[in-house]
Amino acid sequence: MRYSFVVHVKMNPGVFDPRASTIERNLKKMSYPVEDLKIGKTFEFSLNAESEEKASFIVKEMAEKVLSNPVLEDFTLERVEK
Amino acid sequence: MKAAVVVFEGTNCDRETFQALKAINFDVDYIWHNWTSLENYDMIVLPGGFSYGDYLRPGAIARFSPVMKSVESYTMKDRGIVVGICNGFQILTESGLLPGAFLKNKYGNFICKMVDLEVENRDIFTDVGKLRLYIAHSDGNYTTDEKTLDLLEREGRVLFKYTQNPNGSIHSIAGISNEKFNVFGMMPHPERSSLPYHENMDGLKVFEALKRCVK
Amino acid sequence: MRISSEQLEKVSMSIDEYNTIVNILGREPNETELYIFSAMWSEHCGYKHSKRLIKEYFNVSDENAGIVWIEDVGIAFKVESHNHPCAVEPFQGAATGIGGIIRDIIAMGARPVALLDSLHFSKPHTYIYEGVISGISAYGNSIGVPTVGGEVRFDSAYSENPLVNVMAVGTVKKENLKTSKAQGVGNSVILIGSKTGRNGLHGASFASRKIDQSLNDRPSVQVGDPFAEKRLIEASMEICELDCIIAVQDMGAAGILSSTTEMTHDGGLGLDLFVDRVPLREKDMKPWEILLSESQERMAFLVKKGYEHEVEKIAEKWELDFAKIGKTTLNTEFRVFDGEKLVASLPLSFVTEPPDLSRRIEREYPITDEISEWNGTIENELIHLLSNPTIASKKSVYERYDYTVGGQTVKSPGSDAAVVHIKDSKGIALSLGGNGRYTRLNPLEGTKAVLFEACSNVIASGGKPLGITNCMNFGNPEIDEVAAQFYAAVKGLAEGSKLLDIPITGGNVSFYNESNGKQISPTPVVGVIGGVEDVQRIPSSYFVNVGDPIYLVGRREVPKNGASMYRNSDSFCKVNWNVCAETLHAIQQIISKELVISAHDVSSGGIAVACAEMAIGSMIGASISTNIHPFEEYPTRFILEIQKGHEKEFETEMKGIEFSKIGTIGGNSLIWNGEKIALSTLKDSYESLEEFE
Repeated sequence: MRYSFVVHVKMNPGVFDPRASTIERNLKKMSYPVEDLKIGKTFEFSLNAESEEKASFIVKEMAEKVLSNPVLEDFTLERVEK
Repeated sequence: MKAAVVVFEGTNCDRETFQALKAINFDVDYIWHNWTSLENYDMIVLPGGFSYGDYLRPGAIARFSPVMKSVESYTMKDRGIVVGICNGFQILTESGLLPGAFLKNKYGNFICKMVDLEVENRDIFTDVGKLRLYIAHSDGNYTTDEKTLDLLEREGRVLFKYTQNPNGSIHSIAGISNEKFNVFGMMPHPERSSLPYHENMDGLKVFEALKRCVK
Repeated sequence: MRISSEQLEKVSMSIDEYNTIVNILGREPNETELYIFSAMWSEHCGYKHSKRLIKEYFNVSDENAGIVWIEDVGIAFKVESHNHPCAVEPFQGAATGIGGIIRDIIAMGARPVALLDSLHFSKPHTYIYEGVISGISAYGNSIGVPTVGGEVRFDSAYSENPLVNVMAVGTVKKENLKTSKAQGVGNSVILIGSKTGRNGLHGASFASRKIDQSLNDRPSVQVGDPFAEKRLIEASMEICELDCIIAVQDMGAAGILSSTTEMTHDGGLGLDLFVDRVPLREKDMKPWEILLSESQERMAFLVKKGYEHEVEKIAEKWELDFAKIGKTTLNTEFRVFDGEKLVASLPLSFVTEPPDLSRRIEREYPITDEISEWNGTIENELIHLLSNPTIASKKSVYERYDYTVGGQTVKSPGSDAAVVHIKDSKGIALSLGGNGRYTRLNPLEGTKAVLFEACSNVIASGGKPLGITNCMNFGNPEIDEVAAQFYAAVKGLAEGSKLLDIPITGGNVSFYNESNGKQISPTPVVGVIGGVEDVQRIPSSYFVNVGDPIYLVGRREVPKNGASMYRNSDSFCKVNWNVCAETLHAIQQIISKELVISAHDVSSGGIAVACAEMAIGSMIGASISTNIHPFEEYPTRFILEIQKGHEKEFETEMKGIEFSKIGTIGGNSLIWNGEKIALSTLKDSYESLEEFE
């Protein structure tokens, strides 16, 4: 069966992301008073698997090993209806 | 004749651009990104670099600098010309002063090398058919919609094209101008080929040709 | 407070060191003080296993970088390692490694003008290889400093422990040259740059890439911010023009703590530091965390009392944090305050002078002078060597680095040494390299060979060597074998420097490059800077004129070198270093007389590889006729293209130096003793190191 997922990858809270802080600082200068800006990556995809459980297992492994760098990043994954 | 080299936070190629303009007898000043008086200049150059680290998109934050408002009004006045090189070209597309946008290089990474260019606009580059200039960028893949692309080609607004497309740019476009031919953008670096100890001096020919465009 | 073994382990301190501290202080240290010692007395900061030996043999200054002069322009240069961070997070490790060495250069008041890197991996296209190259590319290109040279070498010895050594070069006018020595009582210690967070803390857990359970235990990997570094470079250049700047120090290992204490200790003063005034990025940081943090992109300036606002204005312009965090004092105490509260009080010299643990262990390493001979065809071996990743063209690597930003690059990567224009017609030639194969086999002779190789590269590109920097990469110094290797390498470099009469101006030591007991090959990496009289009159790196004669200069018949790339035995070759030094001098002279059209130093793969590289570069072939061994390696040998018609002149100049005319340029093949090899075949092998998609 075909399952669809969305994986969000973000920097770990303890890691300083210079891109985010630069963009936040400059948005404020342009009078957009944002706080706590975070930058992430979104991966949307589908895959075929025998069951939802198996699909989730594969996606979790892929997210841990490939899509994110555990030394710097964390991720969330959710199954979505296409 | 006077030229201005605009310096944003993160601009890297200002010093050698300054030298190249001096070499063709411009009186040159550096202009800081939050200064706004540009009327005295015949040519305004936005040099290469990594303004704001390229952290959002290349040129995306620099285009909101106070100086860019002045650059915009300058272009509407028939005063002189504006030239954007590499990151400067990206700043001009982000601010809409030139059409199109930049994607990451098609083959993935940052590329630094000498490339062969075929001159397309022989009205401006009257005595040059080919050029060899350095490129050094990771977001040099120029793209635009079909309609604009058609206009650029038909109106002679493509300055030069890559002989061997290094980054995937549509129609191998390496440099363009606006409709009024007073705003120019190019990804290759003419300032890196403008001194006697450089590999060649093709870049001086580019600057000289542009200087002739100043009315 | 009675110290437990867990607490000692947490701060990586031995019980002996702890007892030494208690004895000198006359009391137990408090928590903050304990962390201060743990950082300053770590190998990372204190160089316990090397400092004394380096001081004794190298005669270097205490400044941030070494300096040589091209007329009135000072050339600041230094090489540093960032090996361990690259093993954990290769991209950020490489990026922050560049950040660190660049700051050492700006601490001299010098504007960075070039970068080089010496990289050692197990094989191409591994995760670490890709990460490091991407990291150097991203950071170096972004700050606008051209990466003009270096090397990438491969050996299984580095499979768990890559070596990433980065050299930075900068220029400074005589009147702007800065020192790191503090002067004057009551002057202000100013911090400028990025905010301080918990980066680099919990360093002991840095060793493995395991994913830790608790958030608190996760190693605080530093993420480089090249945009902040660029602003820091520009701000520092403006600040260093001010008269009120007394001393400058960059913040690297143990950040605020080491930079401020070293600055004041070197000046014979004391220091009061106020940690509550440090701009922080995270909440609830303890005093020791603030002191030890290795947050990137920060510099320390000692500013004349009353003039701090001049520096603040510049920091504001470049959107960098500014804080007055301390002042110099009359006594030689180091006091740390958190607001009104005194949290640490220590004798300054005690903090900055850890116990000496250097060891002098002598070992003999086998040498042979049995002459090497070759009979047979060369095509297969030549193709095999040219496609060996260590020898193969690194174009797919260096085209990812911006090597012409700044507009001063004259000779780019791919040449023997890079050449950068400085002023008027003058320039500098730069080379950085190491050779684990040589130094594993014989750390003493091998290190000399590495030095002579770097000098050969500089000379082949038209330079005259002026100064040496070095990075000593070794395994665990507590192991006798490693301590012996280090001692031999230090002696080797010192002897070489003396023989060549070129000073060693500074460097770095990296120990504990080991994994699960496996030590890396001892790998001294040597950087040499040379002066170039006229950047427009230097030899080409490739064959130029059809019909020009080709000469080998240097020893013809050479001993079997167990470290040569095509040979594997356990003896290094016996070298007459005096003759090598004379050869270098002669080549330098002949090049300055402009008789040499193209030149290439003979290194890995011997003269056949050198000739092939010169032919491939311009796609102009050559016809070689010689019974000199095609692949054997021996120091200070050069392939020279001499202008046709000037052979007699050249040969007269070479009196006293061994040389041999080996062939003539022409055709589109490399013909070796009648064996014809197509240049296209050679080019395909040489350019086989692929781009990563």
